[in-house]
Amino acid sequence: MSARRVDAQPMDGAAVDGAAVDAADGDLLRIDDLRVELPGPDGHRPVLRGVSLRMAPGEALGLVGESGSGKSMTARSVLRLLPRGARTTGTVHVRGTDVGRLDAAALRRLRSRDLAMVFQDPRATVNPVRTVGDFLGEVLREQGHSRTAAEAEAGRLLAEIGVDRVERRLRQHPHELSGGLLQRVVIAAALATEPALILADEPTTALDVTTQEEVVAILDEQRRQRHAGLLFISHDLELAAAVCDRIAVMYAGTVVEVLPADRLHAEARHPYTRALLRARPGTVPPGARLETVPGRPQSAFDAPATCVFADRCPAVRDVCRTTPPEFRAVGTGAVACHLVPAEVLRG
Amino acid sequence: MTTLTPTRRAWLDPVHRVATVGWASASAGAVCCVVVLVAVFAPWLAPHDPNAVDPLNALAPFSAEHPLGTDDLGRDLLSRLIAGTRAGLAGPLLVVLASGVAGTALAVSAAWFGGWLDAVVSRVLDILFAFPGLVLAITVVAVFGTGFLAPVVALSIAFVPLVARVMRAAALRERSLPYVEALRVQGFSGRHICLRHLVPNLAPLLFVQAAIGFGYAMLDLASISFLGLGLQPPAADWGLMIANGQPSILAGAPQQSICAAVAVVVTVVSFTVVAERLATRFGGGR
Amino acid sequence: MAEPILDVRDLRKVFRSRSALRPEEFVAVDGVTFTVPAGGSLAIVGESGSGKTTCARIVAGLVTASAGTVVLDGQQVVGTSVRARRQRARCVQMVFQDPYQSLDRRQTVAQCLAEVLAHHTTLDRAGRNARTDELLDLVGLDRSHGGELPRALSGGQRQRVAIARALAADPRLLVLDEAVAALDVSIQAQVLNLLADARAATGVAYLFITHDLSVVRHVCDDVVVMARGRVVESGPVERVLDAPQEPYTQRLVGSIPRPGWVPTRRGAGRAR
Repeated sequence: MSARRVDAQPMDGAAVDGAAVDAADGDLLRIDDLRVELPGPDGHRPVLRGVSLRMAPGEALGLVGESGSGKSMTARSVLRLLPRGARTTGTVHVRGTDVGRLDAAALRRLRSRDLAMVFQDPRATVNPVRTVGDFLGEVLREQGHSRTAAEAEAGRLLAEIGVDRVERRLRQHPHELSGGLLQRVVIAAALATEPALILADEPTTALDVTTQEEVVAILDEQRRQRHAGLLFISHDLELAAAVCDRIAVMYAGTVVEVLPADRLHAEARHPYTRALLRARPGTVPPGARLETVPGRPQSAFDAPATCVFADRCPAVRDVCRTTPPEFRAVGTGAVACHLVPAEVLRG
Repeated sequence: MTTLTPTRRAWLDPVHRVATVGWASASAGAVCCVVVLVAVFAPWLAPHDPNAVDPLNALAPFSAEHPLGTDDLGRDLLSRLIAGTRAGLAGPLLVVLASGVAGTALAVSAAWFGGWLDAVVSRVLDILFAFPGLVLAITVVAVFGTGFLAPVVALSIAFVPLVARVMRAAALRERSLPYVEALRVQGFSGRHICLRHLVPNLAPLLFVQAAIGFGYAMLDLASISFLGLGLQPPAADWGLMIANGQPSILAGAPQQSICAAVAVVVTVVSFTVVAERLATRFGGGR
Repeated sequence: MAEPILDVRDLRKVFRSRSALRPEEFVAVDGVTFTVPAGGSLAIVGESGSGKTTCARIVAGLVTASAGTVVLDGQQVVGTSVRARRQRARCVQMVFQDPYQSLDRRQTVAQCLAEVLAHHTTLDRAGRNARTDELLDLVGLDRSHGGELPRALSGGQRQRVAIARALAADPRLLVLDEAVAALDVSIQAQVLNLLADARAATGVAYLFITHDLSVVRHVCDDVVVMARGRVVESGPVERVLDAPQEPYTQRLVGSIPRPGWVPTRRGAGRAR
C-alpha cells in the first residue's frame, strides 16, 4: 500500500516557499496516513484507508464526500471520538501535539480548549431540559468565567451571531427555538471556547437553504475574526467551495484530491471529483441527461485495494487495478490518480 | 456489484445465534427443553400411576422404588411431578396465547383508529391494570368456581393490559412509518394493512412479551392452585402439592412440598432466563 | 388544450390542536391554486413550514382539505373511504422521502410489487411476475433484486423500488415528496435521470415537492414557490429561477450554493 505522505509536497498556492511547508510544527492540524478499523460482525473492517491532511493556522479546509467516504470518521479521529473497539494507525497532530498519545486529562483539555465541534443535528447536541442560557453558561464556566461573567458573555456571544432578544432567548428551552437559531447557539458555544480549530460536520444539512446561508456566513465571519481554523465537512461541493480555502475530496476512506476552492471547477483532475461536479443538476441544460457514474458510493471496506475508484471510474485502465496510485502534487493541488499525465506533475 | 451487508448465508444466522449463547442461557434452555419433553411424554415417563394410593407407604423417604418418596396418601411423588408438568405448562401457554391475541387485537385497533376508540380502550386497560392478577383471579374463581379453566381465564384477562400497553406503543410507532402511508395511498384497507403488515412486523415483539409472560403466568397459576382455587385434589398439580404437603412438613416429611416447590422455581426461572435472553436478542424492549 | 391531470383551486388546510386548554389553529395551506397538465411536471418549492408537503398529502389523499377543490383527471374524488382511496390510487401515486422506511422491511421487492399489482390489476400470477420484471427493468434494477429484502439494498436502490411500486398501478400523476433529498449526490443524479426516462416512457405527470431549486431546474417544466401556506410566485422554471420577481423567491434563488457564490448575512437573526 503506497504511503500517502505529503510531507514534501506543497499543497496549495499559499505555501509557496518550501520552508512553510516543511515547518511541521506550525501546522494547526496534521494527519499522517490515518487508518481506522471498526469492529463489525465479521471482525474489523477498514473505514479510513490512509488519510493525510495538513491545515495551516486560520485556514478553512473543506472535507467533501458521499456516504462511506469517511469524512465524519476523520473529524472524529481528530477529537479521538471513535467508537469502542476502533483500531487506529497513523498519527493526528493538533498544534504539534500527538492526539493519540494524550492521557485522559490532557485529551479533555484539548477538546475543551483547542477544538470545538458542531454536529449536524442541533437538537441532539443541546440538552432539551436545560435552557439555552444554562447550556452556554456551562461551557463558559468551564473556561473559568464566574457565574455572572458567564451570563454576560453568553449574551454577548448570542448578540454577535445575530440572535435578537437575547435575554429572552437565554431563558428559553431548545424546543422553543427553530433549527437555524439553535444551530447558531451551538456555534456560539463552539466559539465561546476560543478554539484553534472548529470542526463542523454537516452543520447545515438539516436547515433550510436560506437559513443555511446565514449560518454558513456567520461561521465564516466568526472564524475569520478569531483566526480559528475550520474543518468543514459536507456532501455539498459548492457549499464547501464557497466557505473554504481548500477542498479535500474523499472517497472510500481516503483522500483522492486536494485543491484550492477557487480552482475547483477549472482544475479538478480526479475522475471522482469531476463526476461529483457534473452530478449537480444545475450543470447541464434543463431536460438534458445528467452525466452519472454507474454504481454507488463505496465504503473503504467495499472498494478495491488498489485505486479506490477503479470499480466505477469511466476511464479506468489496467494499471489502476494493479497498482495503488500515489498522492502527488499537481498544479496547485494534489491528486491520487494514474491518469494524470506525468508531465503535468511538478518535479 | 458488491453488497452492503456481510454475505454470511442467512439461514446460518439462527444457528450462529444459538451457538454463541452463554452457559447460563444454555442450561436454562436445556431445562426448558427437558420440561417440555416431560410434559409431552408424561404418561410414558411416570414410573408409577400418579393416582395410585398406597396408605401403608405414606410419607416414605427417598428410595429406589420411589426416588422422590411418597406423599401423605402413599402416591409416588416423582410420578405426580411428571404428571403435573402437563397442567403446569398448558395453563401458562393458554394464558399467554389468549392475552397475546386479545391484547394485540385491542392494541392494534386502538393504535389504528385512534380517537375515541383509543381513549376508551386505554381507560379500560387502566382499570384492569389496577387489579393485581391474583386478586382478579380469586374474584373470578369465587364467582365461577374452581378448576383448570377459571384461573386461566382470569389470568388471561389480567395479563391483557400488560401485553396491550407494550403492543399499543409499538403499533403507534409502526403506524407512523412512511410505508404505512404508502400503503394507504395505494388504497389498501385498514384491515389489510393491520393484518398483513402491522401485525407481522410486531410479531417478534409479541413473541418476546409472551415468553416473558409465560414465567409470570406459571408462577401466578401455581399460587392460585396453592390457595386451593385451581385444580382440585386428586389432581397432580404442583401448587396443589405444595399446599398438600404443608401438614407433613411438621411431621418431618417435607418431601412433597419441597419437591413441588423446587419444580416450580426451577421451571419458572429457566423459562424466564430464556425469555430475557430472547428479549435482548430480538430487541423486544423497543 | 388538453385537460390538466391535476387542478387545485383555493386549497386550504387548517390544523387544530386538540388540547382543550388552549385550542390552537395552524393554517398550513392558505388558498393555494395550481394545475399540472397531463404528462407535465410541476415543482412546489418552499422551505420548512411552507405547506408544500401538506399540499402533496392532500393531493395524494392522505389528508382531507379544509376547503378548496382538488380535481384529478377531470373528477373530484372526495372522501377517504377505502373505495375512494382505491379509485384515487389508480390515478395518483406517491414516492416518499425516506427510502429506508417507505418499504415494509418484511417484504421482498417482488412481494411488495406483487401486492400492489394484485390490488390494482386482474393479472394472474404469471402476469404479475412478468409485470414485476418489466417494472424492475424500468427503474434500472437487476431482476435478481426481486428476491431481496429492503435491508440488503442501498438507499438509491430502495428509492427505485419505491418508484417501481408507485408506477405499478400505472398512475397518471406521481407525487414525489422530497424523493431525492435523502440520496447521495451521484445517486441523486441517477434517480433524476430515471425519473426523466420514466416520464418519457409512460407519459406520467409529476408533482415534485422539494426544497432544492437546482433539482427543480432539471426535472420540472413549471414551478410554484410557497411560503407560509401561500403561493408566492409561479411560472415556468426558467423564468422563475433566472428572473425571480418576488423578494422571497430572489432570496431563495440567491441562497443556492453555486460557483462564485458568497454567503452573506441578511441582517439581524430572524425571530422564530
